[in-house]
Amino acid sequence: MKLLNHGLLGCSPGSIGRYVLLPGDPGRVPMIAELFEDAEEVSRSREFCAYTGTLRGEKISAVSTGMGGPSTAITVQELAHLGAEVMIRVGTSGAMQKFMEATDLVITWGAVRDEYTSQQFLPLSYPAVADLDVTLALCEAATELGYRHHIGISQSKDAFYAEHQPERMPARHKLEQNWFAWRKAGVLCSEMEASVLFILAHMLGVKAGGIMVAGPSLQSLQNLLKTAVRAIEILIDRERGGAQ
Amino acid sequence: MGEKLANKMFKWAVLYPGFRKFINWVYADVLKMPQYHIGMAPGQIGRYVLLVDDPQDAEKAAALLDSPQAVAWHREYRTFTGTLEGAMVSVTSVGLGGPSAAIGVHELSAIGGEVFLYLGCGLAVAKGVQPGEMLIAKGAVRDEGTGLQYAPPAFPAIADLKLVDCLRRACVKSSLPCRVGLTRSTDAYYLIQADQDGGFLHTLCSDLNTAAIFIVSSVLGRRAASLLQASERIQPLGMAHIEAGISALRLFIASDGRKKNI
Repeated sequence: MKLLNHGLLGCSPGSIGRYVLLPGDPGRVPMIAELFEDAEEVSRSREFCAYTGTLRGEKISAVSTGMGGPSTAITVQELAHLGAEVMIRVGTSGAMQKFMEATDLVITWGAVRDEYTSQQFLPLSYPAVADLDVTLALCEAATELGYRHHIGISQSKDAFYAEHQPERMPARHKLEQNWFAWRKAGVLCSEMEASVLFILAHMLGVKAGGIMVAGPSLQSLQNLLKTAVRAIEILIDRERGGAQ
Repeated sequence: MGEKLANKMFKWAVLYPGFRKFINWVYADVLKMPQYHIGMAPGQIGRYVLLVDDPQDAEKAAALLDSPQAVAWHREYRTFTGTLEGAMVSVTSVGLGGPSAAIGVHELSAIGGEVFLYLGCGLAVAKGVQPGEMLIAKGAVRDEGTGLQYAPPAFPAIADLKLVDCLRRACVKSSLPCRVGLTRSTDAYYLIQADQDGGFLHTLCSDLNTAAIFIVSSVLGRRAASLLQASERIQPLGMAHIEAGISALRLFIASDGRKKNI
């Protein structure tokens, strides 16, 4: 893939690892980088902040996507161009089912494409689905660390406030109808990036996965980050084991 | 008199969703009457169901179950029930295409089916895929209409994670070449041939049933997966293909401790 002559992430070739964690918030990138060894900032521009370190001797990065589809698409395309091969979205979301707690982790195996960015890449009929190995590694990590988690589908939306204040929107009935449909179909949580990541990863031939907290809990966010890092360790170990 | 009442109840059932729900409940759960199209009632099938297209294939697959018995054969739905690893397992044929597959899965769910594994042919395969290869669909492109009436188009047609894992492990165990990816489910079989060269963009193959089965299962809170064999046209299932499906179900049953979906 050819990019415009300047990347918006501001990352130079070679500065990004094969494994990347993708939070939405640039403020969380340094927090994630604390879990790596020898982490240092490689770029900071706009809503994009990137740190790169090592994990089990393998280069690993944390890059913020900003909120929503468009900036996530930019991040994923540029990262794939820079050589990233496994991308895991880590972030917060809103629980949609009664049996969930705000502190639960959600491993997203698929996403509802309730946004327009990914539709400019592949038609809506394509499913936004994560990579099998990455998702299995996330499940294994969450089980191993003993965190309560669910595996399922998240809803990726464009307009945060259209969902939170539908009564103020002209298309109120349609918004409420959709919300009812997703809940009835068993969607676990609502967030803003997963479907774009999955569709673009599928298109670009890289592996993607996602893990989210079902609420704004900071403690759970720490648990989530530990799970994601553990999952990457599992993937690294498995790859090395397979190579032997 | 009886007919008059029946007609009236039919009219109410069409007009009033609440009444329809009540009648369905009385019919299926209280009276345990057989389902309308598959002709079976609760207790006649297992929690685990192998789905195939062709009633002939149902018989072939049933031969691999322990103590299989023919249960029912109505329209394209032919069912055998036996056991695997001590659990009750059924094989049902659901015909070609989303509409009949959706009716099949919906009615099987209503009488106790919870895990559906579809075995079918993967047509118009991507470049590099050899005929006979096992294609495990983790998701399906929704180029069909049945699923749209179950869930809006933005909803992903995806398989159950655990079942996909079991399918891959089963293929690796019996050293069958396999790939995990997307299938494109379409309604028009004779239009598949038109884009045979190189397959459909970013998919492994095309088929007729997978998307509808995935969507209906997701909406009803059931698990589903699809194992396709790369072939040139729709043809009877090969023995290795059916055996891979059965061994994946064995793996799943052995590890299935949870009753709840998701």
